[in-house]
Amino acid sequence: MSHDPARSGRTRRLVLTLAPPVLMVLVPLVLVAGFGGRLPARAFVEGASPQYASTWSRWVGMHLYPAVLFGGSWAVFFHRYWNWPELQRLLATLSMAFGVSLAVTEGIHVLTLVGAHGPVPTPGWAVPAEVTAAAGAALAGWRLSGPLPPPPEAGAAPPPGAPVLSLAPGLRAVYAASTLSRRRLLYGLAWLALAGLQAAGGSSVWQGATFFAVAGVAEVLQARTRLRIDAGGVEVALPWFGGLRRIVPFTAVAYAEALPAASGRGLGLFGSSRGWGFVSGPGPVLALKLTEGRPFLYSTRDAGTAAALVNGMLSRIREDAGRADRR
Amino acid sequence: MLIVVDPSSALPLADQVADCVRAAVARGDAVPGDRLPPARTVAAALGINLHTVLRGYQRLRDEGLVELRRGRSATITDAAADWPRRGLVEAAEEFAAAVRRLGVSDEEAVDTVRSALSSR
Repeated sequence: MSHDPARSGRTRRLVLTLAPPVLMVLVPLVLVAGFGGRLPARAFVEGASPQYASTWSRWVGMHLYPAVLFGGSWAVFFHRYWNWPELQRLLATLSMAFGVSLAVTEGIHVLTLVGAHGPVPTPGWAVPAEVTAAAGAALAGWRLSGPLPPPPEAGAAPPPGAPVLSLAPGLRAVYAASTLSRRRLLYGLAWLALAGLQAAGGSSVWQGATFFAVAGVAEVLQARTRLRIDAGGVEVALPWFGGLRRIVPFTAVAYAEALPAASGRGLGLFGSSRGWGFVSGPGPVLALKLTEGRPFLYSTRDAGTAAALVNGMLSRIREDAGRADRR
Repeated sequence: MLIVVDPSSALPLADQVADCVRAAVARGDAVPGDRLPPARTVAAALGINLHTVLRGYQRLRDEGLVELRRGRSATITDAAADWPRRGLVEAAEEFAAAVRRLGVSDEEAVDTVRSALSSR
């Protein structure tokens, strides 16, 4: 039976991902049912002109479509990320942030109409409350997803044919490279332009513009990256992101190879089911075969040298470990 | 860029750092405009003194291979574009000296080079 790295905690992450869309339907339903007698005759929620305001039952039903759309999308992504606990945690975080904030928005709409006979302006504290709820829900989604199961440890030397830099016992080595991805910069600016358009359109729903803005800023801040390979492992740092870094220990690397090119679409610090890392354009790519199953990819002109160093380090560490075991 | 040092070597560590950068330029792995890894990063990764790495970088600056500016990354200069050819000339001169030392004829030396090139 093959190893399933995401088995531990997967049900919990699935529930956290799919519960918020359910909440988007349940919150308006429960509030309208509970306060039905004290609400105005029609759903005078924000944006609905008094003469076109729908009935409460129709208004509640209107939440079904976005909830199914959100829930379906999250479910498709979750299925695609079935084996990757890290990506599942990201989905749970995003779903909690969006689902809870939208549920809070509708909750505020209903509660401000309790005891009213006609339209009531949205209170000034509504948006700050929604933002706080989104941030709190995101944090809760991240924390409640639990600790990620550790990746399996690799113990075998790199396979024959892999490039290996022979490192004598006393030698110390470091490989360093940096990249600037113009493609990522352009994507980021496009997201930010969309956010600007959404905000300029006067939409009362801030979540859409915020999503575009956050995605844009995240893309721009990931455009400049640094790679470092030394005795401590493989480290990727994002200098524009406040020095945010992620280290891949050698125990999580099976072996390294240099690829002539790789597609960079969708990669990043979290990546997708195709892998993670930073591919800044056409050209050689360092590819680490990780024990978690996804590869790590990084564009660098001398990818062959980088791969040879990783394999050299792996050989040295694993030969030392093998000798210690034999003693 | 790969930097490898051997603390047990008689060659000073600063020279070893500089040699690694020269080798990367000669191989074409580093080209004009490329940034050298920050000296602090190199020093921490190799477990050597920051000033040792800076001395190595300063040697490269003195040769015109690297530009150093306060508060900014060290970058490879345009002079590096000629470096691979310069390495070839140096290798040819070493080869010529070996030919003379061994007393091999010019024709035989040229044939040896042709043979080596055709085997690649």
